[in-house]
Amino acid sequence: MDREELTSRVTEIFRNNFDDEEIILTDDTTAADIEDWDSLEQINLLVAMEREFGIKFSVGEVEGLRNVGEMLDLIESKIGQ
Amino acid sequence: MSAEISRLREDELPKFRQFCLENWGEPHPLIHNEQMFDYYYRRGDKINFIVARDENRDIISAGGYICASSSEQPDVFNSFLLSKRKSELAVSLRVLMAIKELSGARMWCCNNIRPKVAPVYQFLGCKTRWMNHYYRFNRDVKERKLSVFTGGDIPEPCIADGVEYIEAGSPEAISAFPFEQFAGQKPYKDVGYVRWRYFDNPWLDYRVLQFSESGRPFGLLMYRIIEWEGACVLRVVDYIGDRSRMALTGEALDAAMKETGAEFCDMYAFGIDPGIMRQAGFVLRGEESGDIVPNYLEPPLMENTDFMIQTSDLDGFCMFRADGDQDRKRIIL
Repeated sequence: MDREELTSRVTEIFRNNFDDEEIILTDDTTAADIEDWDSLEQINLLVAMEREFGIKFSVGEVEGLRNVGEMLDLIESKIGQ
Repeated sequence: MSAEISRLREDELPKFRQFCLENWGEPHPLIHNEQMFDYYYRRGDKINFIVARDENRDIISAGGYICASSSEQPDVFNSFLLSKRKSELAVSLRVLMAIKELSGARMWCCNNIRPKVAPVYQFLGCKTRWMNHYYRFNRDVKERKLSVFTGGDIPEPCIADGVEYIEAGSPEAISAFPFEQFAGQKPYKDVGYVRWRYFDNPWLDYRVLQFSESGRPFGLLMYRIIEWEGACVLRVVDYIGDRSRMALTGEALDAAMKETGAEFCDMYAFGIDPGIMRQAGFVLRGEESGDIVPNYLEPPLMENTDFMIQTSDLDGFCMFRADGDQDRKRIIL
């Protein structure tokens, strides 16, 4: 799976979670850019990504994620394992 | 930001209560009613709360817990998880993980979680489920104030030949009950838990029935009578013992219903087979059911309620209405 496809699938997760088809993600997108993206929604997103990609995050891996780009990097690294 | 996470200290109680007030939005009986706080969370010289503190030593997250036994590896009920608004996600997760570590828990679970926070537990590898709601109407009651019965099936409880039961007025009355035999069940509740939860409860009057067959005790069933303006219901809140023989408790419950004139008897449970409960004379409330069997009765809220639970271990797991900090007397602060 290339980065473009990964971004597309993660974007779909965001759009479903926030019920907003207008969401467009870039590597620099942060919680400040999306209304209602708080820590609880962060968990919803992570659980949805785990299910989508068949992966499991640890707490250590997800704390400190600063933007969508780092989230995508993390997913890529786990899919590649 | 790295938070310091450890057990809540006695000298932190004022700032802990202030943190809870600010972030819950109003006083919470479990925290701000001292008698309730002491009852649920003080054990000897320890307070069963884990907190996270920031670099200023201000509390930013807190999670309480209740041990189901005095084992060195108890099964633990999570109780009251709260984090500072806008705090980092990982703090709440680390507090939950610390509860498991610092309590030495074999497994952990929580009764009545808000569905909105289910992903938090799922992220930590736990399973979330809905409890089943079983009930039995008393066909002798014609005027119903606390329920709505649409006239469906009321199965007869199976005949419990050779089964005897006593109502235990004290923990000593159940001294022969083989708690250890059920140590594989989760959560494992011992005699100390039963004493604390049901015999020593300061607010509610629980009835504890011990069932035996051929002189050998096999089950403890706990229920209480809820009364409102001349009407009453029975609520089964817990069962410890041989779950496959729960069907044999139905006759006793039916007798109690008739004796008290209860409109219905109900039980919320996860992990008890509907077929067993049907043999006990109870039906499972379905999505299409027109019956109304209210959970909130003081005063009555005429609607059905569902409860979500979570568990770190589904193997041998059951959860009942009174597990953890649930089935409490309503206290207004």
